Amino acid sequence: MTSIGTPSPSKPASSKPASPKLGGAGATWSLRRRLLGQLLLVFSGLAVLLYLSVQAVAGRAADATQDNILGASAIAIAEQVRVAEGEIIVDLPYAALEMLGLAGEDRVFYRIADGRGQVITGYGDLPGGTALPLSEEAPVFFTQQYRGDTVRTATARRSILTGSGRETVLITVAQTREAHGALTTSIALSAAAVGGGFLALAGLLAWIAIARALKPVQEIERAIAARASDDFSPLETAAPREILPLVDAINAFVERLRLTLDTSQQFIAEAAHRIRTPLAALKAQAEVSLKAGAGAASDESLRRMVRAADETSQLTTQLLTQAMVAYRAERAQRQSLSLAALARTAARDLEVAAEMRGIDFRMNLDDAARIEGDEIALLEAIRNLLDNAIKYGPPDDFVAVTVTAGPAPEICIADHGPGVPRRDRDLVFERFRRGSVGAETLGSGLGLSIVRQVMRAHRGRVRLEENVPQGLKARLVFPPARSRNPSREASS
Amino acid sequence: MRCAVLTALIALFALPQAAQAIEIEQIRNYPALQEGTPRSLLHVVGTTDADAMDGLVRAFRAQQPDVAIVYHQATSVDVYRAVTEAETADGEPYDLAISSAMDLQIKLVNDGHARLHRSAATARLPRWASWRERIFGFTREPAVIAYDSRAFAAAPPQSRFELLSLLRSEEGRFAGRIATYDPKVSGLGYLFATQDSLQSETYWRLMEVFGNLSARLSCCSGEMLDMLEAGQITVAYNVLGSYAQARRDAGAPIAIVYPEDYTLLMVRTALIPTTSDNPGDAGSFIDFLVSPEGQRVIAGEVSLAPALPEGDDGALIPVRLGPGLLVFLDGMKRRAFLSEWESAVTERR
Repeated sequence: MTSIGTPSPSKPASSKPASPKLGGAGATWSLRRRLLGQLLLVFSGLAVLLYLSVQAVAGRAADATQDNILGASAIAIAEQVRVAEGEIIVDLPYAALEMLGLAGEDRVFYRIADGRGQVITGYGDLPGGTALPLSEEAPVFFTQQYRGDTVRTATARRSILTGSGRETVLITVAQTREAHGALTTSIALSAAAVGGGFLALAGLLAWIAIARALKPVQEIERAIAARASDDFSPLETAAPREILPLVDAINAFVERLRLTLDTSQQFIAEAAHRIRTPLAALKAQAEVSLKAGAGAASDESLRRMVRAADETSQLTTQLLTQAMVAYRAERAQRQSLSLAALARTAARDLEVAAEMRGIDFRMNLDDAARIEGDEIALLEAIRNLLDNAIKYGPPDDFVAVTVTAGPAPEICIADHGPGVPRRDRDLVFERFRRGSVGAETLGSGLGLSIVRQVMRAHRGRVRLEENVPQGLKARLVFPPARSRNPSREASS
Repeated sequence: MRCAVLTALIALFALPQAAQAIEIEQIRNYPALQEGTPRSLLHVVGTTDADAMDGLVRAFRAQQPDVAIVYHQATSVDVYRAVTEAETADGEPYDLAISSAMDLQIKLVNDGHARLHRSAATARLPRWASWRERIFGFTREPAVIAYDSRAFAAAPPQSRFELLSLLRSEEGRFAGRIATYDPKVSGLGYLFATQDSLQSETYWRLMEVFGNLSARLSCCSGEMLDMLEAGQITVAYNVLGSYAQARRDAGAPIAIVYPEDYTLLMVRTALIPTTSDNPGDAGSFIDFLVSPEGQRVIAGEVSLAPALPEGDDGALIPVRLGPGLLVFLDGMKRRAFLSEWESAVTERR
């Protein structure tokens, strides 16, 4: 009685295949891994960014360092430019080239030439560049290829008075960039190492933080796994604000489950009671007939027995039908259906019963009316309404069946019977309730309750109206077709 | 140390170089120890005396018995030209250039004529002994002051200051009895003179006193030691320590002083020209030169001094292998230096 297909609480919930309703796509994944992965991805990106930016900065710093030394060297040489006996001479200072050898073991070239490009001393083929330094204090720097190597070059200018007038002297000093590259690489590698360290540390901290953040979820899991299958009390776990909706949703779901279960149990209890009554009557009738002796059984008592058996049979059928319809309405695949075709099929099914009472159906069906739903459940609902119309309508009459298309397709079944008084119109949908006029008619009190259940599952409505001047109009109104939203309110 | 004719060096930077043929002073052939055709032939050109190199070449050949070696002895300028012009006497390029002219060797490396050589043996060298992994020092030879020990009753002056004050106080005793390198003639003398001028101002004062005392100018350490041994001079300034040591070991009355203020160390270097067609064996020869085995052979050779192991004597200053050495190769700088030197020394006579 208590285990209604709920998972056994002894196993950990996570290892079980997810239920079709909750699991969705089915593939499981770890929130912790996904979070960690995304964080590490971001961190790696930052580490790469750090490496690149430090490399750029280090490159610029190394450039600046080399430029400073080259510039100092060129200016030191420029200061040694003199005029002796009308000629420009340069007393190359030892420090000017020696200082270039302090930072590394790079090749060094120099060239001193006058304004006309006449080489005074040095490497005659070393290009001095096209741009002239603006002042004597600020050499120009550029990078070029020379003797198979990339060289950083500084050109300084010195203006000097010779016998033939003012003369410009250009001092060019160049140095290869091996130490520069090595320095840049080593700085950038240090940055990369720091970045890598941060990455590892961040990963570790993120792992711990995620584990702590997910702890309430684990507690909820443990609390649910540990509870007995008939325990429907709300979860009392303390949860952070972000997890609270989950706890509330679980509690709400458990509450609905409890209500559904209660309803089912009530239904079963009442069904058992209802079936027991006609069966007891049948048994009593049979015993009376038996006591009266063989052959003494009157036609009257036999008719009563048949009536009691009919009643039991119909009740049982309808109970099973309701259970079936309730299941189908919730679970079955929706398909596109013609409301007119459904009406025709239902009418055909009840043709015999109608003929017995001399009733015929007047059908006014619009074939354009299409709805989405479960064929079997809907047929059952329409059949129940037709059955009621046949049963409660006067004999030798007609029942009008109308199907109209439009934004909200509907089917309307109208009889000329006693109708349902306005105050009873909600009541008749309750299980085992029958209208005040149906007392002497054979019926279980389940028909309209099935109709309502089917319509709720299809997000439609059932309405009972007065058929002027006499009778009842039962109207099934469907929501517009093509709306494929899963029916949430049907289950609530 | 042989004389380097420096007039050629001046020509080096002023005239088209191909005009003059490279002059080889001496050729030694070392056939492979193994029978049959040698695996390869190693062409070595160097300033080092062929006799001094003999032991080293033989020891290397013992390690590589299938290599034949040819040693060409030439002046430092000709070694420089042999590398830049990629020419040998027998028409094949040199595989190894050994020179005591550190400045010219540095210029060869700086101008891209030397080949990269990286090995476990060269990785162990101290910083001062290599540059750009293309030039490797394998001897370390001090510039010392040699005295005629017969002329000093007590210990001779131990530093340049002491020498200076002695010369000033007893001018008559030393007039015409001092000798040093003529930097115009000797490449090594020029290197020592320029490095001295960088070390201290005392050098110029010393040179002025040398000029006042009509110092004799010489091409080579050997010549100065000859004069010292013969009693013609009393003081020989900046002679190679290993040469002086060899003379003293042979019984000459020579006192050797490593100046206390500072003692310059000349580093003999080897490099592999980029034009070499046998860089593998050339690299092995360099590795051998700086290996403990090679250094032992050098230590046993009277006219060479091993580079390793290093002492930690603070007064010993190796001439630094680096771009600074290019400065005094500059023609204009050279003229300026020599003219200053001449005005200090020669013009006072």
